[in-house]
Amino acid sequence: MKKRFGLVIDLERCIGCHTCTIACQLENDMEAGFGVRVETIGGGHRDTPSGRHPDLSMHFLPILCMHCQEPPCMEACPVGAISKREDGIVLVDEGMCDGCQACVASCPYGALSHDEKRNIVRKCNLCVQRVDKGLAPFCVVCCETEAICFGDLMDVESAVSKLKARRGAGVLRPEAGTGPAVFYCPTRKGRIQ
Amino acid sequence: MVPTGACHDCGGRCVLKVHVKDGVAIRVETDDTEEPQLRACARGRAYRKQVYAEDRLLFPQVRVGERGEGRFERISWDEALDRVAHEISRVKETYGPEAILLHTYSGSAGVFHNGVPTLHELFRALGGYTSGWGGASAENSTFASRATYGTLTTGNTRDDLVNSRLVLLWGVNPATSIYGTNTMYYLAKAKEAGAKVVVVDPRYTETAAVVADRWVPIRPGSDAAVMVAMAYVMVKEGLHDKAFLERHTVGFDKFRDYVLGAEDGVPKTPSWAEQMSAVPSSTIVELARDYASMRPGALIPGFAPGRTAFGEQFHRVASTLAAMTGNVGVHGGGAAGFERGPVGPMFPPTLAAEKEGATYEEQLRALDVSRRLRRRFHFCRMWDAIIEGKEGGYPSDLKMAYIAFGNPLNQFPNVNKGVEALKRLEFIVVHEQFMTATARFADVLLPVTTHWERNDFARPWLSGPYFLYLNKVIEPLGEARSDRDICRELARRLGVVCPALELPEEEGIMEMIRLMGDMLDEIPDLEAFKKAGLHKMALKGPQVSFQMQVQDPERHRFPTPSGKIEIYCQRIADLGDPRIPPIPKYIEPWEGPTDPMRGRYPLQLITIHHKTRAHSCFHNNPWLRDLEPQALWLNVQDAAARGIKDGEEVRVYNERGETVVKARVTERIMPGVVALGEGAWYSPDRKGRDRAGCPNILTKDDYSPGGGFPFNTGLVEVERFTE
Repeated sequence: MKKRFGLVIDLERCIGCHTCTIACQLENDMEAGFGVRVETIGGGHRDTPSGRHPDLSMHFLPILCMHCQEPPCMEACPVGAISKREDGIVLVDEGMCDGCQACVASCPYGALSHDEKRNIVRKCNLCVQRVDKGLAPFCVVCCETEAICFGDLMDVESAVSKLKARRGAGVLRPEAGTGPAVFYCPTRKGRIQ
Repeated sequence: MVPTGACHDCGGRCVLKVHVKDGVAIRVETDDTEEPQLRACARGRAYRKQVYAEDRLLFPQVRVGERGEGRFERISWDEALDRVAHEISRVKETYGPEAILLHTYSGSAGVFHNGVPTLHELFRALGGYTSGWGGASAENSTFASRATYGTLTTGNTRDDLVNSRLVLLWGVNPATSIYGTNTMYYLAKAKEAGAKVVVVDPRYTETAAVVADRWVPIRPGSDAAVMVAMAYVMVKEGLHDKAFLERHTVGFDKFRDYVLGAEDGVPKTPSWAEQMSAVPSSTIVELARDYASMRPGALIPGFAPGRTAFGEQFHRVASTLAAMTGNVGVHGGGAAGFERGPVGPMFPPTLAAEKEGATYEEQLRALDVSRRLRRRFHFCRMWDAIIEGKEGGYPSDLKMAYIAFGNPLNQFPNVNKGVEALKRLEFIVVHEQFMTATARFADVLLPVTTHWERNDFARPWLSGPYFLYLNKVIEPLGEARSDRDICRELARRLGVVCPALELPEEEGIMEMIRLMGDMLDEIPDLEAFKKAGLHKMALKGPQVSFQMQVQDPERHRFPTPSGKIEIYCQRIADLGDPRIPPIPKYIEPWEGPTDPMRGRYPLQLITIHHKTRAHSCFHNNPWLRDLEPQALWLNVQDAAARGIKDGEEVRVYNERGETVVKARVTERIMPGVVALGEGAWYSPDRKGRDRAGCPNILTKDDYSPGGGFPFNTGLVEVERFTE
């Protein structure tokens, strides 16, 4: 059966430590956090809660490439530098990318960023170099609280599928209709955003 | 692939596996062995950026500008060592060895590459030195735990949290301050197992946001008052475990008299505590009922509330509550002492000998006060000790400072006084990896290696259950040398014999491990340990301190003179210090609620730990810096009253100094309290005004009677900054 690799992220476990960001930089030789960033569910910007003192609410939200079923970035790219593999992993061919950034604007998740030094667009590649060796993406094995789970979403017996079903994990911005392969377990306050 | 670990100034000890190609560390992985793994946090991961940092100090330098100005010139190692050796001899011969201030701390220290077996060894051989006492992290907890339990080994292994029905995190934020690698992992597990988690903290911390069912904001310095009022509720409602108190404690009756007001006419009611704490009395009642009824419950007292004036009382009353609720020595409970785990702790679990040939009974009586009886100053008073010397009642007139494994100018209270003090000395040597605030004041600045450039081993501060061997990953960069190599070179130049420094590194490490009996019992094959880098102790499930004492008190005594938990501590009474009562009490701190200073400086300052630094380590790491920028946390109401907007530069000041930093206007801190992350590198502008937001510009250089650094006691005012 065809595989579709994806992630299920438990927002009840994410403590906002940014280890995934640093781990991604290490693994993928990225000077800046092009791969995964940790945003905040709550107030307007990072590390800010919603509510008024002392009734506050805040959670953390790792954002990365959603490896969409129908990636708008792939359609937006005028030079065909973005492709989707059989297993669902969406990749930017850094050799072909001319840095036009049409894809950056097309992504509903802000998951692509322009690397000014190299004039190319970079994003999470789901650590394809590891996945092809049968390993999990680096952020998954680095997460302090084991909040990120990786596996085949098509296999109902996989750990990701089970976690997704058990916790009712959903996608971010479902209205965008791109079919993300990254799912989030809601917080106890029921929020994903 | 080289197995090593992260071992900077942090209470966690995690596994790093570093891939090396052509002598260069290229990749870092972490523990991938069986669960639960000892995974590194962002700091451990970013260590490669630290080792290869562009601003690493890579050759010896000598000062050419004014002291503190930061202008240096490169010199050879021979010139540098000759110069240092000459100055040591000169100061020693002119003024005596006591004129040498030796300061080593925990900054870049492992167990072997550490101040004690290196610099202290050298200066002992040279005839002595003057140094200080006092742990900046947890001295008040140390004092209280020794008084109440007779030991620091009072904690349960973190995996025991899954057995708790209630977890009460009091002034502790393990999401950022990793005291015990995996603490957050087990907290998440505890919550998933159905525990109720309550966080008591002036800030809505990451821990409060992610795991807490309830956040209770509390004014700094009032923690003991709230806990005393919880005891009041328990006694009034008869919720305390009378059988446990009867069997296992001494002095509860005296404490009860204080709580009910029989002693001083003031019943310590919830509304009494509400006045100073801003915790509603109804909340205090609920906290008391929850903790007394949701058993087993783990009260985890952080070190932060203890880092206040009279913070030892917070720790003493926390342990008393643990006893009142019968949570000592049981799974899922906790003694609320120092929290060091029952197996594989940082130091072998023996009491330090008070004097040669002391009997066990004498050791028990010591309460570790010997340190203050020796000729030492408290580290909080290091600057006064330099400035005032013998005239001020300090042990000696200091002429020279030798500083390694630490950044005291930045990390000890009252930076401005520190600047004045360091300018008075005749000579200063600093070992450093980077141009820190302290390094800028060196006359000779010696570049030292990082953990990846030397072999060492690690025992987790909190406790294991594991040990790490830190294998050397790469050759030292530039001309950097280990602190130990520098000491050996100096010993030779000064003509003294230090056999411990002459042993080859790995032989020395193995010798040290052999001397630690408990580690050798656990690890018979040291070569295999070195090769694997990690030894996890095989345990049958979670471990609990004092289990035997509680199950079989006839045969297992608590290691106190009475053999019981000492709510009333005779050894404290014997100290005769009116500022430390023998039963725990709330004592109003200086710069507290009724201090007249409040008129001018109405805001309470706390100095918090950032998730991107381990004290002042990692401040300059570009990967981490941007993730949590230095800023003053200020509540929306306090900001509005001062016309301050989020992101604007503000001046934070009191009579000790001023610092300029951006404001972070947030609901995550309670009104009346402001917070600045400790560890930001002091950076004075041309007017001498700090522009980095280093909080120790503002902290008071005095210490709590229990020995604690009162970093979280202090008043300030904040205003919009204009040049």
